[in-house]
Amino acid sequence: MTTGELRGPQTSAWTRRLSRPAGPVSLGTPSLRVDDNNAFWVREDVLGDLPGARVGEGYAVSRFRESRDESHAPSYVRDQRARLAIIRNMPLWDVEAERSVTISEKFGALGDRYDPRAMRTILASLLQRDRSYEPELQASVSAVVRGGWTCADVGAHHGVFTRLLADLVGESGHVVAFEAILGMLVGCVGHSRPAVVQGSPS
Amino acid sequence: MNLAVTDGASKKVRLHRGRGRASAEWNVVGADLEGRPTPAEFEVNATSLDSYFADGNFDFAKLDVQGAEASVLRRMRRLLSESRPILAIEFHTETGWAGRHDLLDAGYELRTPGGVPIDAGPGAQRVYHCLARPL
Repeated sequence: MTTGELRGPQTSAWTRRLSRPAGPVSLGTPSLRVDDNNAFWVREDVLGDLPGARVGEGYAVSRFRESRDESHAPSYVRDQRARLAIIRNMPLWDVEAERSVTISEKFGALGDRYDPRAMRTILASLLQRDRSYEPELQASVSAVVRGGWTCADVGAHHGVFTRLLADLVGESGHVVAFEAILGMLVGCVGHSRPAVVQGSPS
Repeated sequence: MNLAVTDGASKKVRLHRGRGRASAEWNVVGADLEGRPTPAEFEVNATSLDSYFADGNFDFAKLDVQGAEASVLRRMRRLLSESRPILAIEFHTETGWAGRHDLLDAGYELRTPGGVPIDAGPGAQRVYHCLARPL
């Protein structure tokens, strides 16, 4: 598979570029609009009474399920840290330095927010939510799978069974999760048990 | 690395929507769960379980493959006969349900998650969640 290419400017970088030499004022991302998640720029000489916003203000985190993975498939990831985890090693074009960088190189501080403690918090909330998913099947799987086993989760989707299996097989076991849309499995990243995440069907 | 698990006949498969525009349930069978054809949206790498685990095996597998059950089971015959794993399977469609014959041929029995034996012979009604164990 070829590495997909995601295109989209970082809003602040775009604003700085537009602002040279006497540029438009960013109105930011309208957080109250729910029909889209666009940013608007208006030239100062026609701004009139409209409130402007400085770079860094007025941005809203997208509430839409529009996240994509490296093959441009929908990942359906909403959590900002999980989104960063998916794209952190992707190439970015730095319009100011005019060179290619990665998210983690350019925004080390942002990358740092994706830390193991934060991941454990996310995992804890996922495990809580997991319990209500197909409880009868989970119960029968729990009754069957033993510590030390090797398990395959074929069509792992969001990884509910991957996490269950990883807990059941313990440190000496292995879980291989297959999911064609890898972004689905972001909740398994950093799991303390040996979950080998490979991709899958659907 | 993203991998679709299928019959392994092709190195690449196309993924189709399974349940409407907002669905997160993609499949390789080319139709939604009601059998209506849906367009292919993107392509991913594919493998079969027999080739992926060519030098290994596993004790248990959960299969939730959105209607491609028969394809996946067809290309895990070696694992079924040699590794004899226990399987938890979601049979999403009638086409997928036909894949139970590979399990029966390999000497497996089907039960509900609650442990009730399932009649899986010719013409048997599809059961959504099955636990398959080697006899």
